[in-house]
Amino acid sequence: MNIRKWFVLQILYFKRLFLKKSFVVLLCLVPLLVVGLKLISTEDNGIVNILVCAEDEDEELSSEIIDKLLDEESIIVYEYCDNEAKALERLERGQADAVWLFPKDIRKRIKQYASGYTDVKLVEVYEVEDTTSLKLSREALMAAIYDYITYEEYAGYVTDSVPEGTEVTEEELRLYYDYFKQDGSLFEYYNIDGTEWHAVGGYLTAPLRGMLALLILLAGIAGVMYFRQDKENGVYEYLPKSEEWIYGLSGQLIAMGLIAVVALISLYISGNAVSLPTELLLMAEYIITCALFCSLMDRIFSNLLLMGIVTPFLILITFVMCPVFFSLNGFLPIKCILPTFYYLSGLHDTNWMLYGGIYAVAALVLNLVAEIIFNKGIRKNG
Amino acid sequence: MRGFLSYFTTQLKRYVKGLPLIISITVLLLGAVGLIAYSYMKERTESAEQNLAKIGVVGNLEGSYLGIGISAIESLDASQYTISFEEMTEEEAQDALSKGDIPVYIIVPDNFVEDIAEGKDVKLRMVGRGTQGIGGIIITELADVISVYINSSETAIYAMQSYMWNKGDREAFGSTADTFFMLEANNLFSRDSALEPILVGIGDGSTIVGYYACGIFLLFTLLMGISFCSVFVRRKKEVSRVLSSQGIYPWKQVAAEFVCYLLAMLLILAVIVAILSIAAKVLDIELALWSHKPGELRWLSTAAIIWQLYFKWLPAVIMLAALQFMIYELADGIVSSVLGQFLTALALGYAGGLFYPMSFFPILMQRAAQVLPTKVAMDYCQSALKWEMNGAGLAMLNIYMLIFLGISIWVRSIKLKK
Repeated sequence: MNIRKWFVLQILYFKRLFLKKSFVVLLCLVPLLVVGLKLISTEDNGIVNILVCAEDEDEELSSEIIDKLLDEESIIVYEYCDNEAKALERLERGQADAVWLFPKDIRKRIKQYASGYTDVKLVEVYEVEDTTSLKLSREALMAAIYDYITYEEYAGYVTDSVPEGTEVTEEELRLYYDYFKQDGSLFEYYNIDGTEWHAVGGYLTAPLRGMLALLILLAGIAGVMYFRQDKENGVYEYLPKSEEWIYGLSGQLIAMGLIAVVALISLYISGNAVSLPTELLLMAEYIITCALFCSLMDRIFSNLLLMGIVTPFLILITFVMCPVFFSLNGFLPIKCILPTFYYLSGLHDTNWMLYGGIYAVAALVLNLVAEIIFNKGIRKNG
Repeated sequence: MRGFLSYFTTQLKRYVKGLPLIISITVLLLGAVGLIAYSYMKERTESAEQNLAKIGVVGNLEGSYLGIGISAIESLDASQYTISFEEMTEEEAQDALSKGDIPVYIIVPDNFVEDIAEGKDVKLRMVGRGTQGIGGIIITELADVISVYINSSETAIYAMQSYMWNKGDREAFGSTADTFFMLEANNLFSRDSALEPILVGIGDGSTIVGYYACGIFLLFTLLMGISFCSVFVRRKKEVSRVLSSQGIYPWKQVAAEFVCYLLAMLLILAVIVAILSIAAKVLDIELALWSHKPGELRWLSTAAIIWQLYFKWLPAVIMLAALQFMIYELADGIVSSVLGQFLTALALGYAGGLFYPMSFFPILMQRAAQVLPTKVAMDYCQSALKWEMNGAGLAMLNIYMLIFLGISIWVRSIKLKK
């Protein structure tokens, strides 16, 4: 193969891409959209909106719990509402997911509950429809009240159990309880590779890496289609047949490389990026695996129309099988066919980065075997 | 008029030529995807174990208050919020996490309980895989809840033990501690009834399954635009110019091409709907799209409902087809066309609530999204799902369609002038 000719053709390919104004616009659009998303994710957001009300605004305990909830950083958004009727009206109009009404006798109710009368209602919870997210929010509510319950459990139990005549004072009880008091999370979060696990940017920006990965895969598919179209137009007529696929592959790498640069910039803008060497290594592997995957797709489907039909299905399957929005258990054999799975899984699991390398080698071998068979076929047919 | 008709026929022929292949591949792919989905659902419904999201626990839980917190989470309404904990070795947990069989695992350090009792700052290590989206965030929320349950339970039990040791009956100390522990556990496990919700109003009748049915349908329709890239990129500017000189002006060209594109799109979607309705009939699938089914649907079969929905959702499909057509007109070259279609589907789909319900987004974005074509389409499809007429939505869809086609005609005119 003539390296100089190859190089000149790649420069021309590069220029052809940049001569298309819409391609340049697309390249600029990606980071702009990410900036928009980043700005939006800094606003208050959550998976459920709860309106909290107190039957008696002067009741100290209710106010204390409500303040605690309002100060919490969570995927549950709390809003204080000073009017119960108004809150219920907003709930029915679909402007909130639930209303929590703290009764004026909450202290008494907690005491009753702590002493074993568990059928007492601690907080009046109003919902239109009970959903999984609302079940989670009720757990958060229980967690906000739980410390008061355990204190009452302890205080009540001690008062009832000490020998007759022993004086039990509130101050003394509080002193013992506060001495053993534990606060803060019991958990520390790590990734499988030992790095710290940050829920960076929350759930709004969490799928960003997966979406950008899909865009790179699409650039690969588009690159293959561009190559097909060029072939149909006779652009590669003068090249030896055996070298065609190398030109196709390098064209794809250019298209994907450009999108990959934009994707990396976007990841850094969004704050979702890890260390630069890891990002670069992972991205380089991803581009190669994608290019080889797309090249194999091209050999299987071998025309523009077929590639076009398969693409929406491929995108949907990748969305479901790879951890873009959520992680689906099982289906490992199907996941292992998709290059995006290696990229997303390899971020914090070096094993998958390694498997990605093996995948690339296997895909290259398959491409070479297909090429040899294809060339033999050409020679046979003259 | 004759020129227009003849151009229309030519365009139609171009689509018809490729349609048998498009339809047969669509059927094949849909069959494969359907088979995977069906086998997954079947496995999930047949096996109670499979229905749970398993979390691995590495280390000894015996005699630890951690057990309380973990059991408390497991006691969440098992039918809907399903998490189970499974003890494993660290190697097993790493392997399961790596394969994606578990979302996270927790490492309980040796002497965890003793260290806590001695007031040492000891933590449980939760190990995940980083890119988990909303699932990972929910897990950390639950971990915070577990932390509170464990911390408060421990505080109370140690305070009680200490108090009783100093001031109580030391001989009865062991039984006292057990009784207290039972009281704590009983109270914690009864929390569901203490916060049992009162359901008010009747809601809007929709379910999250119904919401995502609309979302997936619209997303798929948006992505289907990519399927026709081979037809669009083969258009030649020179031909358009000649046609224009013969009286088939840009608006006529766009009209003929759009109608043909739309017909092809509707036909493919009809094939998909036919497959789904047959599958629903054969497999006797009941649609869980409503919390309370609209009265009109009570006597209709699932297959009939699917077909009715297809026809009800047509205005949204027509608007999206116009949007795709406009992107093809704006983009030059196959790379820009494919990426443009995808980026539009992704950006408008995300902002329009096709991936996450709109309530997940900040208020500001919820307001801004009201004018997005995908949000208008989503609202329209949801109204149709509830068998309601959304006149404003229909009008908006038509306005958007006209705007997109108008832009397409304008762009075509500019291109021909160059």
